[in-house]
This record gives sequence, structure tokens and C-alpha cells, in this order.
Amino acid sequence: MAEHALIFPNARGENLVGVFHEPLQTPRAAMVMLHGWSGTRCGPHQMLTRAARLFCEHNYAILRFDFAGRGDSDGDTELATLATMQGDARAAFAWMRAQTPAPLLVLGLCSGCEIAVASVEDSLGGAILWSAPVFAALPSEERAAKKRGANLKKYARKLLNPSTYAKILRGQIDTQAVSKAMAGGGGAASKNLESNQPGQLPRGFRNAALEKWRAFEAPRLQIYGGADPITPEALGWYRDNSGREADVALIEGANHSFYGLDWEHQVFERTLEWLGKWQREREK
Amino acid sequence: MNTDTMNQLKTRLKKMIVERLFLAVAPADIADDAPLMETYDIDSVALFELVVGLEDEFGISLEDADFQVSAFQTVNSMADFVSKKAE
Amino acid sequence: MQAFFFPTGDALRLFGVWRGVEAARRVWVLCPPFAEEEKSARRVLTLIAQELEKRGESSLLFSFRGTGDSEGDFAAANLTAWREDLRAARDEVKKRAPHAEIALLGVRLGATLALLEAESLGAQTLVLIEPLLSGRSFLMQQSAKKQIRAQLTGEAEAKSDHSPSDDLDGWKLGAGMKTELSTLDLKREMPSFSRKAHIFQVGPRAEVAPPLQHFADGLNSQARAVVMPPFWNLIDYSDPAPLLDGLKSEVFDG
Repeated sequence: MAEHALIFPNARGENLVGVFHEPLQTPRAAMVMLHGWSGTRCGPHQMLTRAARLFCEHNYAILRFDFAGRGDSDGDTELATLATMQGDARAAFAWMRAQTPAPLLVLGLCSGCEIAVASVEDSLGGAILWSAPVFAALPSEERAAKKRGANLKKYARKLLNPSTYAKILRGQIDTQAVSKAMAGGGGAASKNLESNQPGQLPRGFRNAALEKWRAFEAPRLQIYGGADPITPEALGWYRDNSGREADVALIEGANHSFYGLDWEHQVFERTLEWLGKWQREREK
Repeated sequence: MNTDTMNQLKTRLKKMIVERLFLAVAPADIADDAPLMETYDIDSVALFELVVGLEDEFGISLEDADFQVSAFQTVNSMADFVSKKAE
Repeated sequence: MQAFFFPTGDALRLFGVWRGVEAARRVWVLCPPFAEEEKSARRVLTLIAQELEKRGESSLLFSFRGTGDSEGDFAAANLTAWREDLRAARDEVKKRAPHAEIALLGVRLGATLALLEAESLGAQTLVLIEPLLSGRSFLMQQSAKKQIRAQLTGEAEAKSDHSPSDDLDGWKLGAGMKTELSTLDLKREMPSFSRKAHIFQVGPRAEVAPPLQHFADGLNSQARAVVMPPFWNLIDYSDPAPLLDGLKSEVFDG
């Protein structure tokens, strides 16, 4: 295995900093990892770095990079949107495709999943979404929910256990109502407003991206923390807005960013299991 | 702790809360029994700031055993907590 | 800008980003804070590097072993090794810019380590942003942070082979690191630095807190308060302008 520091440009000519994990043998697949809204290519508790190293040992080629305006990359922090990040992700896909003809997967973490959703292309072999929130929702609602953590406890205990999340997936629980109860009134200004103003989404972005996501048919894995307040609403949203049912894994007791060594380990193991299954299905 | 001392402690706590959380309210406007988390949208990051504030400005160090979020519910509960730790 | 790995004395590779020309008069080694704090602080350090580049100065922003993209096992890392990493970063700067003055800028634990090594590395400028004065206090705060989240959300304590106190939010605290952090106390043992350091307090108060003022006095240096949220703890980005303005007026323009 080798790790290469690299810099590549996005379509706006901004330099993005990344690391390419190159396996010893011809890779089974290539993977681009997308970090969260205010994170870096290493992820919380270095989770993406560690995952990339582990997956590379299993013969996957991995690219991680900082979005423009994040981490070490060039670009303006304030002007980054899901649209600019979508462009960065596509530049990363192109960079990776120039390295290897292996099938390409995308892996997102937290808001990185929103970029994954916004960036899917027919040629992608699959998507792995860790703690995926509702796509392009008003973030103030989500934030309000998190801030009301103490009040969430009773909802979380009731809803976020393995027996009830299965009901959510089957549509037996009204996640809209749950989300309303959990999120409170919501908020005003948003990173997800469509206005064509700098730092906001171009008009029509959300619907155009959603249309592509709904048409995307490749396999996908979604992993959530069992104590993450976003889980019920997000599971319901993906159930209702995806073109194909996801494989879902719930890490019991875990929070949004899997802040614990054992939770992190479980996420990696579940992902590797899924990758094995994904490969077996491709070989059929 | 007598009433005057307790009131002084609450005044200091309110000032610390306003400063640490960059709140746009006057310290005196925080009611002693107002639920802080709900009223001021205190999340885990903000709550951590209050923990650091207690240590920096009141010399209170929180050992694992005695940490409870409930101690930060209101100014009253914070004052009780600080006064007990100071004993 | 260049991104690369550079070697340590014990043959690990540390990740670094170089900004600016190699012929610069002064090159800064930018030292990030501890583990998870680096995630929140990384962008601010990049903005500082960009500001320096605009001024014709250069910088190397790196990660300590076992953190960021640097090689090494975090659980096996300790402060002694991280001080060696700082030395490796200085050596890399000297390799690329043999005639440049060395300046060190650190945030939190990165500031503390920069101070501990400044004299021996021949640093001529030293900037300490909210240096960590007490390792024990830092460890207690990390534990509180974890408990706060667990109690607010009702999340279970992760079933783990690791002692809860050694699992710092997904970072395995090794025995060496724990011991060295527990005994780290700049208030008791003041390192020497023969030049004046630039010390910045970052937080809500416009006055420098007595412990930091005392620390600054011991270094025969000035401390300045910058009023802004503690960016190394935040999940979202905050405006770094107050800190950048302070650095410009107190250090970079001087």
C-alpha cells in the first residue's frame, strides 16, 4: 500500500488537497470519500483516514480530499454550497477515473452524503452513506433538533432501536410527524436556500439533484447511529426518495459521528461486509 | 452559604453564561429558574463552554463522578452545584 | 501550494502542506492542536498560512504522528514523540529553505509543544494561541465533553474493550500520552525562551485571564485577548477575523 499526498484542481481552478491510498494489487474498486459540511478529509476522530487505510488493505483504491474552502484546500469557506461541493466531488471522480478503470464507489459521511446524493452518475457502482441527513433540508431544523438534545432523549429511546427502525423502513411510522416533534419550529436562513446569490444554491438545484438520485439504481448502504436524533427522519426520507432500497445498518447506541472506538470499528466492519456482498453481486 | 453570597454567585454565573455563550441578553435578564438549555438553545458545544467557564472563572474542576447535565439546567441549579463543590 | 509527506527521525511520514516560496525570508511551522481539536482548527490554520503567503512569507502546516494524515498509531504516540515531530518539521523547513528564519505558531497543545521546543529549534518568532497550560485540566475537560453528549442524547456508552476514560471520542489515549498529559503543567514548570513570545487568549473575555497573564509574565511577554468563540471546539465554522486581525497587528506587521 502507498499513500500519496496530492493536489488537483476543481472546475473553478481552485486547488484541492487530498490523499490517494493505492493498494498493492489491482484494486477491486475505487472509492471517493466525501467529508461533512465543516469537516476535513480526515473526518471526525480521523475516521475517514482510518477507514481509507483499512479499506486499502482490503484492496480498494481510495481518494479523500478537502472540499474547496475546507481543510487545506483553496477556496472561500463562506461561498461553499452543496453545488460547489458537487463540482468538487465530480473533479475527484474524474481524478480517480484517470488512475484506475476499477468500478467507482462514493462514500459520504454526514453532509458528505448530501454531496454524494447530489453527485451520483449512472456510471457509479454504488454509494455508501454514513449518517446521511435528509438531502438539502433546511439545516436550522436539524440544528434545533440537536440542540434540544435533552428533550430528544425520550423520542430517541422509543424510536431508535432495531425493532422500530425496521418499521420506519416499511413505512409503518410517520417520520414526518416524528421529525416535526423532534425539530420544533425550524428556522429561517439556510445554506440550502436557492437564490443564485453567492454562497447559496442555484435555483432548481435541489429538484435536479433529487431527480438524478431517484433514478440512480446502483446498490447503496446506509449506516446510522442508534442514538443519532436525525436517524428516524432520514431513514424515512431515503425510503421515500430513493430509486432502490438501501441496505441499512444501525449501530446501537452510537451518536451522529460515531464518537467512540467501538462504534467506529462497527461502522468499518459493516461497510467491509457490505463491500464483500457488493462485489459478489457484481461477479454474478 | 448565606442569601447574599448566593445572590452574588448567581450574578457571577449569569455574567459568565452571557460571556461564554456570546448571548445577546443582559445577565440580569436571565431568570434564576429559567431552563437554560431550552431558553438559550444550549447544545453540547455550548454546555461544554460552561464547564470550561466554571473551571476558568470559579476554580471548579469537574471530576467524572460528579458531572451531571442536570446541574446546568438553571442558574439556581448551577449555583447549588458550585456552592457544594466549593465547600 | 505543495502537499507532501516528510520523514521523522524514526522513519514515519508526516503529512504537510507548504504555502509560499521556498526562498522566503521567514518560514513558519504551524502546529495544530490535539487530535479532534485539529479538525475544527485546521481551516483557521490554513487561513493563517494564506495570510502569510500574501505577505511573502512561507509556512509548513503539518499533523503530528497518529493524527490527520500523518503516519503512526495515535495510541502509541506521546508528547515526547510529538516534540520530535516538531523537530522533523523544522528539519523539513531547513531542507527546503536553508537560509530562512524559523517562526513557530501553535494552537492549544500545538502552542505548548512549540514553546517547549522553541529555544532548541532556534525559533526567532513564537506565537502561542491559547496555549494549554495544564494537561490534567485538559483531560478532565475532554471527559466532561463526552459525558455531556452522552447525557444529552441518551447515547449508550460504547461497549468497548477500551476503558471509557481511554477512549477520547474515538481517539485511543495511550498510557504514555495520558501520563505525559497528566503531568504537563506550564504554570509550575515554565520553559525558557530567550525572545519575547506573542501570546493570544481566544474566548469571550476582553481581559486576559489571570492564569494566562501570569504565564505571559513568566515568559516576559505580552498576552492579548481576542474576543471570538473557541474555534478548536466548534462544529460549525466561526469567523476567524478577530484572530487574524490580532496576528496582523501584533505579529505580522511588526
